[in-house]
Amino acid sequence: MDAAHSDSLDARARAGGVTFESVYRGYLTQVSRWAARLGSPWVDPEDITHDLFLKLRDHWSELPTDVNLDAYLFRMTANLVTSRRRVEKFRRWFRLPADAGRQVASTAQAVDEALEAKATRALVAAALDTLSDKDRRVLVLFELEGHSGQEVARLTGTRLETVWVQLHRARKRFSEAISRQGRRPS
Amino acid sequence: MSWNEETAALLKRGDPAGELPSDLERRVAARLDARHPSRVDLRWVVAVVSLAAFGVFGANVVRRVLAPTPETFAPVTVPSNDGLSPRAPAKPASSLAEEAGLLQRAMSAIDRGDGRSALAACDEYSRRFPAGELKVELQVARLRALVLEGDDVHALEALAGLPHFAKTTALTILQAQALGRLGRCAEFRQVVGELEQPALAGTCTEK
Repeated sequence: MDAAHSDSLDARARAGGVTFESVYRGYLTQVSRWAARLGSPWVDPEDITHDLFLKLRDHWSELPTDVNLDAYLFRMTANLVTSRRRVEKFRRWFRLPADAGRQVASTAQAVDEALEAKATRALVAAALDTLSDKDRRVLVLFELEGHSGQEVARLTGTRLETVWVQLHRARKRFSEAISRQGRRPS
Repeated sequence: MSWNEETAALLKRGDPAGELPSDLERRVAARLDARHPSRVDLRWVVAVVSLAAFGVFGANVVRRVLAPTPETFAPVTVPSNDGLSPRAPAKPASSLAEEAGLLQRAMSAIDRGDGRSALAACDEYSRRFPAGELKVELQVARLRALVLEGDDVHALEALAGLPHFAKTTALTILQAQALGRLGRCAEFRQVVGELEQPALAGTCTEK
């Protein structure tokens, strides 16, 4: 990392907060996972991670020292993914047939473990891609990240009751999407 | 199809984060290091160039606003030349051919010994082209025509009005002859002296 923002980082460190460097080291893997899980086969987690930390570094000095970094970074990631998915969906509409992503799952044959894992990931990705952003966030945080309902509510900035409703709806839609793909959980 | 443990297991097996590249951290760090300084530099470059361009543009605008325009001066009144000293009329277009024609007419008349026609051609030239391109040549033609007509007085006046470069030896001889005929022997001898013809000096008779 360069020292371009050393002044602002130092100022934040002197104010008693964490440094950008420590946040970068601590959250890089987490952010890239969020990006992969919230994204789609057409969204590169590396791009999202890079864009997030670039934006975070640009606005680091403006960040309140008492900010909840977990929720802040998760929402940043989610917003970036949503924006990127919207763009990619628009691009796919021009470039590829609508079911181009699903063709990977339906045609891939699990002849060995590697192919099976690849086919499963493609199937899950295609099913997740059918969910709305809100449903997807709740499902990812609860089922894949292992957060509790309260933690999901804190990270997404919604009420706990809303989280349960969204989770129920997300599970149902995900299952329906899997069924539509013609694949059954084995 | 409803949510059950198998579906949850499928979701975990197909976790999109399961195939993240192992060198993602290094790649993101490299991109951040490569991109951020250039962005900072680019901002400064854009800012400096914009300020410079705006400064130049602004200076030009200020200069134009403050620069005196023709409308800020009082209109200049050009005095009329009517009734004052004669002003050279404008030369008509393509007059040189006509000037040469008149001069040729005068010279032809001189060659014929017709001083009157030559003078008429010279008068017409002076009337039509008072500031003509062949004015000096016309003065010489008039001088020779006056000599032909025996008007030595006006011939000498015409000779005096010639520019120095036009006073050839032939004209000086004409001048000496005219002075001799007029009996202005002092001037005659001076001119003959210039001609380095002292033998001619005794041919003049004072009148």
